Amino acid sequence: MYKISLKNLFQNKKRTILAVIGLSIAIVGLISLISLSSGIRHSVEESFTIMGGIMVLEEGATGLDSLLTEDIATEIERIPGVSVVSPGVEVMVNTIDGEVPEVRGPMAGVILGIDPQKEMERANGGIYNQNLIRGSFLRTTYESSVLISRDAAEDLEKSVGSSITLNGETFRVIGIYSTGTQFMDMAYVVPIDKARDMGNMAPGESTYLHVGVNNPDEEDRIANMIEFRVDGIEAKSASQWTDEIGSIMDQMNLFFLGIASIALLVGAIGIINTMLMSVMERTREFGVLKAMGWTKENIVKLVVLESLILGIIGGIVGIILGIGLVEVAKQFMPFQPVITPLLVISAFILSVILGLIGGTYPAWKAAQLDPVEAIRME
Amino acid sequence: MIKMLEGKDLHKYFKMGTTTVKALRGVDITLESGDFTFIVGPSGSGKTTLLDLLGALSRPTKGRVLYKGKELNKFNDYQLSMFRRKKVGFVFQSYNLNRSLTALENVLVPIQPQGVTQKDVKRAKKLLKEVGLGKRTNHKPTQLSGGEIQRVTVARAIVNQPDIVLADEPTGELDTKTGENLMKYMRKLNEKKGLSFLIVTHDTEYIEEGDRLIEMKDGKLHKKT
Ligand SMILES: Nc1ncnc2c1ncn2[C@@H]1O[C@H](COP(=O)(O)OP(=O)(O)OP(=O)(O)O)[C@@H](O)[C@H]1O
Ligand SMILES: [Mg+2]
Repeated sequence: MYKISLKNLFQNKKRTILAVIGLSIAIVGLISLISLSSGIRHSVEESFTIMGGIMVLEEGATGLDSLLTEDIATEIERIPGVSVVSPGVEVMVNTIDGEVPEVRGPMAGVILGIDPQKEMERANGGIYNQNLIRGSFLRTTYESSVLISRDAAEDLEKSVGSSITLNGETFRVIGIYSTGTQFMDMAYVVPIDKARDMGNMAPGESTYLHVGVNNPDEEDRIANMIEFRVDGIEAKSASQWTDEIGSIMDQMNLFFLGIASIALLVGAIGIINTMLMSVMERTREFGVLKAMGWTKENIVKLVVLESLILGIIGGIVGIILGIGLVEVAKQFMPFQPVITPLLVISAFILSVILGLIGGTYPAWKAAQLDPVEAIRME
Repeated sequence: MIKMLEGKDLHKYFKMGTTTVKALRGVDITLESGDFTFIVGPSGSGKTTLLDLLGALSRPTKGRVLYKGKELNKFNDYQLSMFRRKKVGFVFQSYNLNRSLTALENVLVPIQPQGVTQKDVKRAKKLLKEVGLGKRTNHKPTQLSGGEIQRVTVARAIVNQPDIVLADEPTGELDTKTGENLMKYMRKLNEKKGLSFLIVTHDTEYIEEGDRLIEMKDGKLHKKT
């Protein structure tokens, strides 16, 4: 019977193609949205895991708007179990070599000021120090040297020894790093006092503090202790940040899923519409089938089979186009969208279900037709 | 002879708003195996309606249809489907075939619900040969003439080896020569297989000596020969 269904679908190619396009657009939407959101999540989680330690921000701040005073650092250093407090200063990149950078989303890059000595005292030896692939690490807190990522080096055609002007301040590239994490690779790493000058911050002030602990198992406990003892700050371990970001991501996922469901609903309506139109046009055919002894069940099966095939084709086309789109998009995005086998399988199952559901009502309609009236119809 | 299909005091009324159209008003008819019967009569006299009742496409308002003594009124929907599938074959005036299927596939459509076997395919091919379409099995309806399409329809009507073929103006869209040709094939099947035919027609030229002729008028049988 599937052969008849296939041939019936082939008979009205235009309508079949329209239904398939409708459904596959929905599937493309689903795949790109979900893979984007899991890509962002993956990237963020990775950054926190690599960073390690406890991250301290001003209470209520989300990033660059955070400002911590020197007292806070001193206070935290005194807490038992804390081994090192390494401050970081972040300043937006406005110009590179006098030009406004080609903005890739909000991700044009960031000037990150660090204290090289403190960074090296951290358990991971300082991320940018550990991931240096050429040249050498910063030595002082005030020299005019910068570490840039391999990507930036390639984009800007810089190498160790080149000079680079950031926000009007000229630095010499003394090292090139690559952490493998997009978030961290967006940094132009400079000595902290230079960054403070560029961000008009007072000596001792910072955007955030990285707190290292003696015993990694105690990170969560010490993070809670810091929050308890010091006013006006938020302190969270990598895993705590990941959880928090995770819940924001879940909300984002929910939002994406909402959009995707609307697309899927449209896809389903497309199938129902296609099948209803097809059933209506073929009224006489169903009358003849009944005259030939086809039961209602036989007719339901035929129509549902047709829409199931629509669902399967729409799903496969959607998955292929979706993966293609994501692959293309990858090259223009700071995040790597992640397509998991689970996502592909779910998208496929969803299209099959949509095909089944979309065909049920039209099939029921076709089965209910009165054969005498159907055959009399011209 | 065995009474194969009988209609007893058949009435069929259609409600059209406040008025009731009495399409059949007490028809008694007996069809025996091997019969070659024509029904003639003016438009609207109830010929199609009678065929619908005898083929169990609809139920009578009053009266009974008996198949080998069994009352079709007492059949449920499924049993009626089986009756249509196994015992009768239909040929309509036009638009009979599925345009996306080949002649052979169209002939096999009545067998689809129970699953088509290699044997069925063989039988279908043989039937197409018997109606003179042995070389047209893989043609689609668009590649066939009107007469050929109707011959495919006849082959399809008998693929499940029914007792009777109910044909409603099978030559209605054909010219006289093509129509005669179709009749020739139906007569051949009647003679060779003892298959009954009940044929509605407006063309009395097709009727030959020895055929049964039933005339209808105003929902009743007018005269029998
Ligand atoms: N579904 C229906 N609803 C209302 N009236 C109907 C219906 N079917 C048939 N009729 C009426 O019943 C009468 C008999 O119709 P029927 O089709 O059986 O005639 P017929 O002899 O086959 O005519 P024709 O030679 O034109 O095909 C007609 O008056 C027709 O209008
Ligand atoms: Mg008629």
